[in-house]
This record gives sequence, C-alpha cells and structure tokens, in this order.
Amino acid sequence: MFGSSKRPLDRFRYLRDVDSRPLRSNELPGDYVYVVDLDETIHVAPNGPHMHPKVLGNAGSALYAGEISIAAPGEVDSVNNSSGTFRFKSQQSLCCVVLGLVRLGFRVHEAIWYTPDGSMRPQRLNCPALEGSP
Amino acid sequence: MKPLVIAILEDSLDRKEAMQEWLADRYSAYEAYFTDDPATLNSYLDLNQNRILAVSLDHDLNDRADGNLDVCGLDVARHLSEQSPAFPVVIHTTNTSQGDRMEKVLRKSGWAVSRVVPFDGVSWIGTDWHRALKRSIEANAPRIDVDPAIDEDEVDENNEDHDSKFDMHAMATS
Repeated sequence: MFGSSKRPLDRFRYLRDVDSRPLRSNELPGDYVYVVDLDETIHVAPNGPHMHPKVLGNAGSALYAGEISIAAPGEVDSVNNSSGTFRFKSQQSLCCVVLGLVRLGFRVHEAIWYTPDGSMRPQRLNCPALEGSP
Repeated sequence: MKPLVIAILEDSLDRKEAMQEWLADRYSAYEAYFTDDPATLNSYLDLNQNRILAVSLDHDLNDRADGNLDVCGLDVARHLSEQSPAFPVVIHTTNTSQGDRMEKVLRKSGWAVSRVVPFDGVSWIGTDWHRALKRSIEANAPRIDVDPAIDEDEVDENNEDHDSKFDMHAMATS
C-alpha cells in the first residue's frame, strides 16, 4: 500500500493545469509528470519545469509523484520518483504506482528510484508488477 | 555522505539559469556544479571523481567574462579521454563539427556520450537536454529489491489516512 501522503513543498495554491488529466491506457507517447491523488488515481500533465504542484493544483496532498515516459500506447518505458516539490522516497509506493499502471492496462518496463539524499545513483526497483518480473 | 554531483560546462547565463531550474525541480537531492572554465572543471572532476553522477559539456564558450576564445569543451573531453569512463557525458552544443570531435574523443576511450543540439533559446533544455540527462543517469542503474523500511517521514499535517486499493501482498501474486 502507499505510504503517507504529502503536500508539495511549494504551498502556493496553483490552479490545476489545463492539460492535467487522469492517466488512460491510450495516452499518447511522451514524457509526463504524474501525481497520485488520495484516491490513488494517477494524474498526468506534459513534462515541464515545476509542473508537479500544478497537476492536482491548490497545493493538494498526494500519495506519490514523479516522471513517467510512455514509449508507445500501453507501454511505459519508465516511471520514477523524481519531483523536487514532493520528494517521495518510499520504494513500496513506487511499486504501487507500477501496479496502478498495470491495472490501467500498461506494460511497465522500469521503475527507477532516486535516492532521497542523493548519495547514490538511481536504482532499478524489482517491483513485482513490472513486465518480465518472475 | 555527500550527495553526487551533476557538473556542467556552460557560459551562457540564460542556459545556466534554465538548467538550474530543471536540476532543482527534478534532481534536488544532487548537487549542481557550474563553471564556464574547462581547466576548473577538469580539476573539479579530478578531485571529486567518485561523486560525479553526470557531466554536461558545451563546446563554444564565447560568453566568458575574460573573452578567452582559446578554451572550449573539447579541453574537457580530451582530459576525460585520458581516464577510465566513470560517468555519462552529455554534449550540448550547436557547433556540430566540434561536438562530433568531442564525441569521437570520448567514445574512443569508452565513455558513454549523448548529444543534444540546442534550439529556440532555452526551450531545448526542458525537452531534449533534460531527457538526455535523465536517460544517461538512469541508463546503468543497478537493480535492487524493494526495501520496505524506506518510507516517507512522518510529517504533521501532510499525512492523511486512506484505505489503499493496492496491497503489496496482492502485488506479489498478481
């Protein structure tokens, strides 16, 4: 299960970005930022600087956040926990994101976990729901 | 333990500002090191070789305060080529021929190199450069098992209870 929720470090109450939407399995290929809301819905918006607080808007709490790369329809190349304003660090929660993507109909190839203190290179998590996992 | 470093050779203040914005937004746990001087960067890389996560190199350094046009990104590429590959290198330059030289020098010595061609002011930094840097950094990430002990900090009003639909035990059998 997901860990504790967090509000963004940037508490400015941004409006929700007009391009923010719940992720669907037919999402076009590209690089996106994502935020998981308290109902465990994965929302995405086009990648851009300081986009994470605008995905939900209103300084809303989230269960996880990061970046997601969709290589082809239904194919997630990688998902990570890279977000300067949320800074989630739970590895289990990143695997919950992978599971959420699989349940939406995606095949997920990589879950990349960035260390919270920056002391190590990012690492590939062996999430059970990843494509090719035993 | 000190954080790893993303080191960048760049002379343009506009580019530096845009890069800093992205680094703070996506790689806030890592340190960012900027210089417009190849010799300074070479010394820094020598002193901090075990802490370098990635390097990004411009070629032309025409905006340097001292106006010295005799130095360029190739000086760093040559310096690195004398050492064993230790981190990914992104080359971000509009100077195609010199970028090719930098890439050739580095690849010949076994370094992993990505190329980015700047366009449209600094808009390429949020698209091509960020993507190249991210892919370079993540390319050889080691594979690890999930550590359930690594969890979020308990934080005052940020925490909210909820009933999760996702259960790790279900994940193991799904």
